[in-house]
Amino acid sequence: MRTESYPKSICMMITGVIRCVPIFVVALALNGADTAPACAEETKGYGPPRDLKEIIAAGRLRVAFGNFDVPGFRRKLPSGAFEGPEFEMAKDIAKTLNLDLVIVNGGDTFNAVATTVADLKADIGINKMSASFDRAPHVRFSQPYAKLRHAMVYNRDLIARLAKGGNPEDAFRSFSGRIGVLGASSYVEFARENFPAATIVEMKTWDTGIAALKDGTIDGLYRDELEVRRVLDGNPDMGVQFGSAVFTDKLDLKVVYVCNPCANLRQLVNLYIETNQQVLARAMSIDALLRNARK
Amino acid sequence: MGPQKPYSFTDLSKKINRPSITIVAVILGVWLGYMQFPFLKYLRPVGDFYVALLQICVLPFLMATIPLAVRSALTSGTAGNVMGRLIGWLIATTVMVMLIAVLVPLVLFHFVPMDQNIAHRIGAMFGGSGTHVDMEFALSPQLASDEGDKQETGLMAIIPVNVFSALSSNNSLQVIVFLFLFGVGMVLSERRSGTSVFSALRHIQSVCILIFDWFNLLIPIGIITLIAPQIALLGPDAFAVLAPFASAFLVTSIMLIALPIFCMSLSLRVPPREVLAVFMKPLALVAATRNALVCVPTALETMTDELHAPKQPCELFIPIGFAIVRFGNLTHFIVAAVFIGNLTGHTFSATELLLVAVFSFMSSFATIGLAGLPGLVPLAAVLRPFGLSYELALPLMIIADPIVSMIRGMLNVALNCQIPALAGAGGRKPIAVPAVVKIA
Repeated sequence: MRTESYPKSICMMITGVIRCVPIFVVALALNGADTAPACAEETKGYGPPRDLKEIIAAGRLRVAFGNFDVPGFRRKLPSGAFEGPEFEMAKDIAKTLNLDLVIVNGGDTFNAVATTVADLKADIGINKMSASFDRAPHVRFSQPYAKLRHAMVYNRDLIARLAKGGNPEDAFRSFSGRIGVLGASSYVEFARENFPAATIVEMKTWDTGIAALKDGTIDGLYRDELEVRRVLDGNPDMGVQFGSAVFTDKLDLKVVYVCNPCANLRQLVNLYIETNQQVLARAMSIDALLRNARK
Repeated sequence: MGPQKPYSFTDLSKKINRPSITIVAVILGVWLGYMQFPFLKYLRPVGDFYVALLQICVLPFLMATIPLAVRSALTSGTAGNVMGRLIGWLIATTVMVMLIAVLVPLVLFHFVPMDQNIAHRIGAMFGGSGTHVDMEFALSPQLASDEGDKQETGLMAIIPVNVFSALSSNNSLQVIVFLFLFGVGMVLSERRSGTSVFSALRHIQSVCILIFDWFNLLIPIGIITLIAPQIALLGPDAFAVLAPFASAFLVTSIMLIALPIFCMSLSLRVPPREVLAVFMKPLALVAATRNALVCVPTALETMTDELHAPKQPCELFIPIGFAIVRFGNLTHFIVAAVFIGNLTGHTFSATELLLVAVFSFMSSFATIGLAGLPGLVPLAAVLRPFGLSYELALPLMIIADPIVSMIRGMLNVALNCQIPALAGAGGRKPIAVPAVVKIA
């Protein structure tokens, strides 16, 4: 099985080299030699790319999952088995490559999952990971398989006070209260970027964030739309005191993290996402995710 | 025996629209709606068809009635006096409505406070659903919608720059402003040249009334087919959760409907029970159609023909009052603000209560020509200055609106009819034959 894949890979490489030539020439002409190494690195030699070769040789695809459930996307059953659309996606990618799926413990935080992939302890990380600027140098991002909008659970009183009788939307745009975000997650960066006047409070867990919101330690809890909806879904008593706002222009792109040298693996993951667009769109819709999370 | 008078549509309409039949139709509509029978969805198109029929002649009727009323006021020599009394009673009624709408819910919530359990249930029903978010908007200021800037605001909104456009878009306020000005112009022109089209207008008015009489034959069917699906929109959960707001609004409304009944009874010297009996028709009609303007002809007929209120102030004020003076919305906004304040633990000072009433009065004008959800948007201007969440109030008000909109219409009709009755007190036509109808 594995040996059969070599000729295909060689053909793909030759095609890749041919495709790279004009890009290489144009890039040299326009920008000097800066872009050349990347292309050259991906096509080094005429055999299969090193990363894919190693993965295929090992016969297994190492996928990093965080050591925690990701409601809606993936959860661990009492039996130790996983379920959820992200787990299905990991299985499908491994199956497409004709490899065994190996789940790697990605640690207790989202950043830890990113580090696991960056340190090449896993080939890819699928853990509701966001595409963010601060992680871009360390891992490769696939194209998004889910798009969630940024959202906030907020204290109605505070927003009404900040709005001073005007539109609450403007109060969010110049929010100067205390915003809770999940520590060691992309939302620390997002919050600093989108709410520069606010005090950003990093919460150890999402549940401590909810508790802090309830006791007034923070004024808002900022994350993606799914988690914000889940807060009010799971805490119906909060509905009067706290409201939910979704920011339509702030998208949280959920991507697969691919190890940095694994350019071809990233292409294959992208190909998988592209060819399964409709299935993924349905499985990762906000309603489907919310239904999964309620299980 | 003399020759028998031919039986007319008007006679048949009056026979069909006896108060007893109207009351039975209302009760039947409410019962069918409460039972939530599956076939109710098939009644809605029938009700919509009936409202469409009623709307056919509303604008032509207003176009004839308002200039005629202006003429009547200007030629009688008592125009200034009538206008002065109308304005005086309008102010007095507004103040009375504000006072009752503020005090009744305050007293109710004081003696029957909302416990934490009710707040939790409301939160669970409206705020705690994962399928609902309060706000969706672009955080970037560059992407913020600027639609609000495009709308005409203030005085410009009532100026009919193009009256034909106002007519075609059913902008009743602009049409009424135009007709008022046009009526004054027609009277002055008549005095100068001696020619006028007032007799033609009177003919148009009587044609419209005749057509309304035809459609009035269907009032009981209209009431049932419009009220039942509306009531059915509210599920049993909504009834339970909305009970604190609904009870405050209902008690306030009952008092505010009783007020004009007694005032009209005193000023027109008719027993309150009989005023209520004849007044059931316009009240039931507006509850069914939720459109006060559609009820102008019926209300005028009830006031002038059945209660024998002075015609001049009625014809002058009722069409304008129904279109502009929104006592129902004023009451709704005040009660909603007091309720949301109570729900979120906000204590109003006396000054704040006064401001709630004033803001509600001002916001009620912003509901002119609006129904449904857009008609609730001005509530934001009442709640937000006091730090009360409009986003929390809106879903509550939307759920309650099927019932509240019916009562709002009844308040608009009842309180607006009270003003010309009081303003014309002393000028009432003598009644040759007792014309009031008793509840069968």
